[in-house]
Amino acid sequence: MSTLSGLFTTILNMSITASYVAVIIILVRLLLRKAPKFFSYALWAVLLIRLICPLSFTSDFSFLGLLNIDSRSNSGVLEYVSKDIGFMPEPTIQSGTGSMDSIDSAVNSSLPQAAPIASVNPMQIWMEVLSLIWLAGIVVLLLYSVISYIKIKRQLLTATLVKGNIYESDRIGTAFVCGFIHPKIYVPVGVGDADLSYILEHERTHIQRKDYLIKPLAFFALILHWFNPLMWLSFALMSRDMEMSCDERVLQKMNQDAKGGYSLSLLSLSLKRSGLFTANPLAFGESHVKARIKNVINYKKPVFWVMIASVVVLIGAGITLLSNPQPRYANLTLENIESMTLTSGLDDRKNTVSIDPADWVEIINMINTAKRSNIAEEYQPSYGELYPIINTLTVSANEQGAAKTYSLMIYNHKDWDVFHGEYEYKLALNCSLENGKTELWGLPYAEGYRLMEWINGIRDSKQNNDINNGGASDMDSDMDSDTTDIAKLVEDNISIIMSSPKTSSNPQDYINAHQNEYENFFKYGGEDALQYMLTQFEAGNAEGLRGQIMMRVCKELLGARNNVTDESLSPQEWYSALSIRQEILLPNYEYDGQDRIEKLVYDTEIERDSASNKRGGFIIVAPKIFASYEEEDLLKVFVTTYSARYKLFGNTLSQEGGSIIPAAITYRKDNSGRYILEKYQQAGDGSEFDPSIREYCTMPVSGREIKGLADKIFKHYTNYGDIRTLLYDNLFKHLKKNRIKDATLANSQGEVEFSMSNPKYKP
Amino acid sequence: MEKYKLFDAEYKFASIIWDNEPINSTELVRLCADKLGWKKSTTYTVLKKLSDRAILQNKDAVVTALVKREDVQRYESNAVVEKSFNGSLPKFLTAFLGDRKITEQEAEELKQIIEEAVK
Repeated sequence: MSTLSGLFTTILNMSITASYVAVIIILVRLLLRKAPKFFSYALWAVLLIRLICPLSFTSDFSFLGLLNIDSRSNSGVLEYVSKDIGFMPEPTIQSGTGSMDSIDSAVNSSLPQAAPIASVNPMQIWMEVLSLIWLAGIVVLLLYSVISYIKIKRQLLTATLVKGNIYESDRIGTAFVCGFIHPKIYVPVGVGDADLSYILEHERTHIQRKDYLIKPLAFFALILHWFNPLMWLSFALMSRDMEMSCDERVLQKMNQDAKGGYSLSLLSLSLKRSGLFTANPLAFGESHVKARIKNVINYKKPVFWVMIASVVVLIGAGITLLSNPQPRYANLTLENIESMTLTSGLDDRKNTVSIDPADWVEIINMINTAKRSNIAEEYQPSYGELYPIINTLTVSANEQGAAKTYSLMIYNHKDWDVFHGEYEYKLALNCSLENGKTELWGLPYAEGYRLMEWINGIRDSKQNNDINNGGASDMDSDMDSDTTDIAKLVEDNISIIMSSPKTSSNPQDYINAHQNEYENFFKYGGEDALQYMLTQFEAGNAEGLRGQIMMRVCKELLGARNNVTDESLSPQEWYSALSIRQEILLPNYEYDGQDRIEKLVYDTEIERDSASNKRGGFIIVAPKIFASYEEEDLLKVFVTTYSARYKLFGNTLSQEGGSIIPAAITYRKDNSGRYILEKYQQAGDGSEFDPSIREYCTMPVSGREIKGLADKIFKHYTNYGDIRTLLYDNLFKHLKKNRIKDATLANSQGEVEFSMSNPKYKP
Repeated sequence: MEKYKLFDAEYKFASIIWDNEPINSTELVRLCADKLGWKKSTTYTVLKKLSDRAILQNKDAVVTALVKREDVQRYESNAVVEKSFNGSLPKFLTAFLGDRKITEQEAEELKQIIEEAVK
């Protein structure tokens, strides 16, 4: 994706939005036919903004919401043509004309399909070519503008001063304003005094209203969108409205009797023009002059209620046309769900469990936070090598009698730091609609991560149940095959890792050469693989290279449960010294301070984290409260919360997960004066982070923006030492309260981050 | 003596010289800036053009006229526009009127409309 075609795609999308806006403006103009032309002229401002400014705000009143468009709220650009069109196996666009699907299908069927064999997608090449044509058009038009401007400037060199900023010239056929910084009025020689006063008043009005700047700006926007015929039409109409509203302003300044003289001036000057000005090929309807003269003659001081109505129409059109539609969310409710299943593992070792209805609520809540968005190309899930999909959650729902299936694909977005075997989980939510179309939705990263943790928890608990129940579940029949599966998994991967490089004696080289196999232990093996390998150690079946590899895998799987710190031991020595630390179960943190708002926030955050926590451990949170506002019966609190989940093995703490996420929490005061959680708005991730925070930094009831708050939150986010310190303070308090005398937390480099005996942790 | 034809701006320029000749060219530049709003370069360009056409002469920085005021005829401005102005105005300038002429018939029609209205 080159920057140029990226830019072109943005312009193309803006152009499509602008086309809708232009059509509506043209229709509203008809409505305002009888109103002062000023209103029609003002309407075009909306289009100008749409053509130049790629971003917009979202509102419930957006006209574009009536169209069938997926809003990309994260960038503020509506996308009909995806930036990733070059990477789609079957390129499609969506114009948003829901009722006229034939347009889309006609366009889409003409788009070239990706050729899997070719290294470059034909659509990509097309986009590159089109963007070059677009650029060429801009260059040509800019050159034309600059050259014609220079030409006219040269003609005007010999224009002679009349007075002030008025010059007369024998080289021009009509009066106009020229110049951007100090605009001057140029008048043709030989205009009668009567006409002159009107002409000058007209041009002065242009200057007062900054028209001489607005028009070039509009023309510049037109150049950017030169491929859009609707914009040429709009520019012509806008110029008309500009002139007519200028005429009206002149009449307001002079008096009503000026009508006759003014219209005669218009007439005589248009007659004077000799054959050199050829008829405009874009001519349509009655000539410009005729329309203007009629407008001048019919001009009356507008009636009060016409003014009011026009103002209302103008403001209404402004809001509905300037704003983008609110992003639509999935709207699942418990009643609609028919079943949920979770499939994990890759093709060759898939296993599917169905999820209990008790756990549905959590998933529905998660899915409902998903925004419809195109997932950036680099995060696209695939069944291939790069980002294999490891979990698919399938939700079958029945909405308004139509079956819908959501499948949530959780896949590894490999970190650059592959050698740590760390993954960053990304999620993509696929929603197949009843019309057979599939839409890709995106979950904010933080939500995704929680969901992933939660899903893994469910899977673990299900599997544990199956093992503990000694076969009361439907998976019992697989029990034996499960153990043989695990044995096969471990042995297969170990033998592949041991296969090369034969020349080395360093076990790490073997692991480095087979990262994928090494990772399989963590992806598919987990606790079961650990148990199997420990039995191998017990049986003395862990010698040499095999033992070295197994020891490394076991250490990593054990994490903080490994009590042996001596790294020099042989695998069998290590196993002899190993006594797996037992987990000490602790409750979640509880706030014991007096501050009513802090109490609410702590309770909410703990509640949220524990609801999605199926994986054990205890939760500590540390919120920073920026501000809280109470309006009527709503209380809105703005926080950034550092939340972390720990497990305690013996006296070793292990951090199992954590997040630092800004949020706005809204509570409603009920009759008894208690505050009930009403809404929890969380910052989005990636490019949605900033806009999502700006979006929720508003008053709870009136929705007015709270100035400077978002910036405060951003600033803090880059340096959150304070909540880190608070987190450790709370952790210390919590451990003490639970009579833990000694506990240490080490970071991934093995340095002590936190210690009860020496609580001077670094901020 | 044949009649010399001058454009409007040239005529105004020549007028300054007839009124003030002989005139030092530096002084002429000052006068033109003052009366016509011309840049120095414009003054010299027009001076050179008219010297080439043997209407003025510039000798040792002193400018004099070679023809008399009564031997000069001004062009009709309409004719001038035809001759010297080619192409239309750039689209992005705000003009009193656009680049479109009206037919005789239309003009008649509009005259009547205006007369009706102002009666």
